[in-house]
Amino acid sequence: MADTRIYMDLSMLCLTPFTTGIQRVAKEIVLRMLKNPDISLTLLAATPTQTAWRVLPHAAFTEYYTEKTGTPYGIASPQIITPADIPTDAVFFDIDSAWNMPMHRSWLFPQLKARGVTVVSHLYDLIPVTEPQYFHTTTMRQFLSWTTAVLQYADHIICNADATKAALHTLCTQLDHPEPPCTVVPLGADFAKKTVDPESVDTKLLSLLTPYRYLLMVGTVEPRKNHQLLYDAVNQLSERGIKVVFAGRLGWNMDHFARAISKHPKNGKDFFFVQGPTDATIQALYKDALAVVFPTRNEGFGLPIVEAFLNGTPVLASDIPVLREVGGDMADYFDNTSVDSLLQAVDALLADEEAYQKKRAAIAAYRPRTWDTAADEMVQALRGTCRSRGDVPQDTRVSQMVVLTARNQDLLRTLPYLDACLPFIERMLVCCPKENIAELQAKWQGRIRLEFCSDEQLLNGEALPEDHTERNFFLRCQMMRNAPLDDVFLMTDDDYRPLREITPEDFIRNSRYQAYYCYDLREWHGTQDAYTSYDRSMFRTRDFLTERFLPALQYSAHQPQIIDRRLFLEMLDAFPGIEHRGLDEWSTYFNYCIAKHTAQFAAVPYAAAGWPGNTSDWALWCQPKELFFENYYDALYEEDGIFAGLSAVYDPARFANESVEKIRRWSEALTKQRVQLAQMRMYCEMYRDSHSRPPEFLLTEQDGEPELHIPDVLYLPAGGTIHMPLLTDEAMRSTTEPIVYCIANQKGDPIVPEQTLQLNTVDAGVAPELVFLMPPTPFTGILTVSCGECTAECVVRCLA
Amino acid sequence: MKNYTDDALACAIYQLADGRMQAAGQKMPCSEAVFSVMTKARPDYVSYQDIAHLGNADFMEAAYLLLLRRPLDEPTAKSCQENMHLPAKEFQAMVLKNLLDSDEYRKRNIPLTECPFVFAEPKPMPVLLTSEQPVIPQRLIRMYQKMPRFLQKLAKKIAGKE
Repeated sequence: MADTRIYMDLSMLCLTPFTTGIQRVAKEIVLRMLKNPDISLTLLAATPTQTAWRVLPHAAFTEYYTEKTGTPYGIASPQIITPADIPTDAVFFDIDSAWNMPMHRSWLFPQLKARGVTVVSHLYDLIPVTEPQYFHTTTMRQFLSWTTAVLQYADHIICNADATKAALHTLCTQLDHPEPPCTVVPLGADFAKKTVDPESVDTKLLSLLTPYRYLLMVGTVEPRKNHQLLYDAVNQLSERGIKVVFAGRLGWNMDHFARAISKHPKNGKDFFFVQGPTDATIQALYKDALAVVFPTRNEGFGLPIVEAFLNGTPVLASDIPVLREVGGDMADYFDNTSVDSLLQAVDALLADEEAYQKKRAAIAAYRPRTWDTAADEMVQALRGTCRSRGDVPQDTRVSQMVVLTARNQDLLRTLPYLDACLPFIERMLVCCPKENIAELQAKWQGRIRLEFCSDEQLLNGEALPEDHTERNFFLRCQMMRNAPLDDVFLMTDDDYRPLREITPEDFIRNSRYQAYYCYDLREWHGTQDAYTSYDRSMFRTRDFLTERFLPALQYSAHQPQIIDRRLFLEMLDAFPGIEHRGLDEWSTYFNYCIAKHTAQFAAVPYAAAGWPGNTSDWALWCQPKELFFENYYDALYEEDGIFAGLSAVYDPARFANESVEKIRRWSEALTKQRVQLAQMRMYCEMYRDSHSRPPEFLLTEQDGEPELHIPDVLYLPAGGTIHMPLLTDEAMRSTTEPIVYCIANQKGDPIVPEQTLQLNTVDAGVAPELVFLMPPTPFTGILTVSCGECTAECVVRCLA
Repeated sequence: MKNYTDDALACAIYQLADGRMQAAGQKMPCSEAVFSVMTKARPDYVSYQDIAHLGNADFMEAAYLLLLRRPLDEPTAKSCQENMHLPAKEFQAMVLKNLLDSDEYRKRNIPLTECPFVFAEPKPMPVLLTSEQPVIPQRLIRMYQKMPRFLQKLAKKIAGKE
């Protein structure tokens, strides 16, 4: 059974009509990986937006690349996968030329890594970094950018040669950057024999060459391949009766070379330049060549050497480590900067005909390394890096729940739910004010045994901060140090209620702690006109994490989370004084652990209804895939609340049915928001089509005065809370002028009440936004936005 | 070991390559500032604010690389030379107008956001009022979503949405 899930982006392979070079490697490896039962492979090709992929069905992929039926574009299925859909226990493996892809890895990898996905990159070479002068400017620039992402985010690198691994080591040393773990897997070379059309042989060329011995150089004419060296040796070779054949297409930046050879009086006599030779011509040229010359300045692997051997032809190659690795004892080597060195190597071949024929016989027996072996070794390397099963010990047992509370009634109403639905929990440690303990002891008679730790014990003589969230974080840090905790326990609040039976697998799956996230802290807006203590704590946590280059997902998912006390204490030790910073305990702990102990954690979308209290409170950054906890709010059970009519206290007879109903109602509300988001996307697309720009609210400074640009028509869904970013330049962020906006009917009566945004009070790390609380019925109105003397108006159509 | 930010690491790698290029008697194809912007770019849209801070020459280079996904061509570079002295905002507006008006950009269709300049008169938006809004059957919507992009465009055209 497949135990390793691997995702591969093959966008370049799908875009390329012919498979040579890296695309050929990708094709050979993938076709074999598809047959490996130990892995589950998902093949991807980017969508036109370049922010998601379509899935390539295995059968269609195999059929296309073995039988060439269909089209590479046509094989993609309609199934769309975004980076957020790649499971945290999967490996994302780049074997294609990802630096050419518009989906930049510097954009993609941080997203994958923030959730703990293993990232593995195949490194073919580092020549665009080490010898950039040989590359086209676009390739070089993209490669440098890709290298940055790989060094920063790859968990593992697969190289195809020791020489490339050595180059990686040198680069990391030069940069003083940690070297990612690296496995060398040499490429295969048992390519299927191409069927060649004998009719397509260039007989004229071959008949010209027949009386002579000749050296063959195959490959695109580009600066790095160093054709010049062989060209400079033409005269001396001619004196030895040796002709030269260059076969390949003319690449970039070699026009001067092309001009020189076309004007050369010995062109077509002592040397020949065959542009775009057919496969049949190449095979015939290989067969009769004295030797294949490979004077390249640098290579990632040197497949032409293998191809020459497969055709039984001796090779004279540049004396560089990677070619020594590939050519071994069977090739002869020369200094790629010296014509004399090349001539000496040729002379050595000519000197002893018997030795030359023996060499040809030895090469004829050459058996290349197979693609099957290469693919197997690659899979082994990937499985080695994969964290489909994590590092949490199998025997880890959770029997303790911990709550920090000052509200006895809330806890007493929640306890029956926990008692009934978390059978593996035996004890609950309640951290509360001393005076609360007696009441809890008296009133709770359930299965779960209550243990207590008073605030005084937690504080251990330290003063309690005044701010709610600062106090919370401080107490939790103190709790880790001073309370009688198990090594692994569930941390909860007094109002997190289960909606079904909860099992330990909801918290430890495949030996990985499940870390439930609900947002990205970098996107958290909070209540921008009146930040709460909670919002400020989120901003502080965002800054704390990003300043330390840690991921910044928001884990205050309002449902119980599993905590490993040893790791929490490790985090406290890593950041002395952190307990006084008023951070969000969940986000700080889990982001630290995902970064430092990735193999023990899987970041997964949260599963709580009731968070946010109203689904339209903010644009949901991530939607729960299932719901099995409820974040309890009284208001949700009131007459106009989403759970109106359902029991707000535990009733064993009604629990199961009411849980189903709660899940149904909450899911419906989430769906409504999804529909509204889709409507907004559709509107934005239509607007962009007609206006050549997105619908934006933009506030800039022009000659010291504010200038407003707003869309000329807004289509907003009815009944939703619509958040639209207000883009500003730096100068306007500090303006004290309020931005006032209101939607009125044509008589001027407000339909959506006037609202104010004070830009200078918006947190510096937050993009300001205009918030429209749309009424449930459709209407047409006028939006007026003003900042000081500057006013702008547009039509608003509110759609059902 | 250094604890690099993404941007700092990109710049360190750029400088390394720059040294090699100089040793080979060549120049890097773009400045470090443009390279830094390129490395941070999103794949799906371009924010004007990300390139607004660049000097005129760099701005033009970055705008072409980001919006047309190709380096600035020599004739365009030459024709813009005489305007290099213009104030930044004026120069940027000129470059973007030329660029956004081009057929090449329309084919690429990479959205430019957060741009304070207004260049073109918009085509009218289709009026969608709830009462007037036709109900499109789900089956047709699903069919549309599965169509290749060129067919989607055709369908839009037939429906009068393009």
